[in-house]
Amino acid sequence: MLDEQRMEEIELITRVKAGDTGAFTTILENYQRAVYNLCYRMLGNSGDAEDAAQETFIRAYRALHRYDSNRKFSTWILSIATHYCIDQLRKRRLQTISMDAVPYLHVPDTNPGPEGSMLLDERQQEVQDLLTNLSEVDRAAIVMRYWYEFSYDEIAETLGLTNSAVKSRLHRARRSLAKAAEAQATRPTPIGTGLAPEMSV
Amino acid sequence: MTHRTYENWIFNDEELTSAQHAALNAHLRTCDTCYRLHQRRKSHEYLFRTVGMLAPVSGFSVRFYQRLMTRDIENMRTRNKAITLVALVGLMVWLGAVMYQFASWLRFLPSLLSDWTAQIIGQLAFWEITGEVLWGVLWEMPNVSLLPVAWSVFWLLGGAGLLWGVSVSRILSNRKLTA
Repeated sequence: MLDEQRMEEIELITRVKAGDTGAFTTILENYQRAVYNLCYRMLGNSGDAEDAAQETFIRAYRALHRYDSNRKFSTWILSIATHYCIDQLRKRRLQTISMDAVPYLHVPDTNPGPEGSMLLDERQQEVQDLLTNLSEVDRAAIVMRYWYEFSYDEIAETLGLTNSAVKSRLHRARRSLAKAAEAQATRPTPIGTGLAPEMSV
Repeated sequence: MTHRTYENWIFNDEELTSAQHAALNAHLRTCDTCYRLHQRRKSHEYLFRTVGMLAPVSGFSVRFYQRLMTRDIENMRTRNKAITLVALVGLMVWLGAVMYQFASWLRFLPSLLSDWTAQIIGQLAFWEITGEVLWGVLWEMPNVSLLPVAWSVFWLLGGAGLLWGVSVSRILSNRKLTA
């Protein structure tokens, strides 16, 4: 039994296939945030994320006639985005992106105020630093698991892996994140940086 | 149980049985490394689940349609280039086929062209020589210093020839009238 949201999606897709551009604008507005967030988590900066999100929607728009309505639309479009980002990462071999150099826009649920905003920025930075420790596919699996609450089956379908491979990748990703964080915590502080201002002179 | 088993329990998603849970808790109380890894996993999960979704800068749809339009134009140009290329290749193939059809006729073309060229060169050479001869007779001959008698004989012969020509033409015209 299809729920109301899926019925609406299928209707929108049917209208797009019939040439209604306005229906695609609705799809765009419904999914832009999800797609952009995935691209951002994968690529690590707003410019590349915007580029990847737009490319994802262009690909989706062109391939909409091939979309199987038995599949969840969100899984399908996020699958396009994931594969595009993995390709980009493999091409560029993106290692570390300084988030200070490229500003991004975060949309919190409530207005956090200046101090809260700074804290959010630090948290975003921390997330990106953690994610850059992972391989492209592991990163995609982690993002889909925690930001989109995808099941193993959905992740497997999106990434073209088996269910057990997804479990194994998630396990490995969590372990490498924890070990990287541990290694970073136990690393000795460089001379001078840990001192109070008056003592460093 | 090995240390690896506890690590697997820490990083797997599967629900542990109550016995496994108790064993893991007991191990975490004694093993500092596993305890820290367990804490890391929990804190990372909390961070990922609470950090929220990022959104693109407003006007995403407008930028998307602009990009789509640009891409369509680029695709059209590429398609046009491809069509032109295919048409040129087709034309060349067609010309090749036509040439093949007229191959027997074309075989004589070189000899025909060489004949025409020889004719043209011959004509040009003839008229050049004729021009040179006439130039010599009309402009150079009078400058040659001959005896005055020789010139008198030349003009006398010329006058006699002229008279002969005129009389012949008159005789012929009278005959036509009487007939």
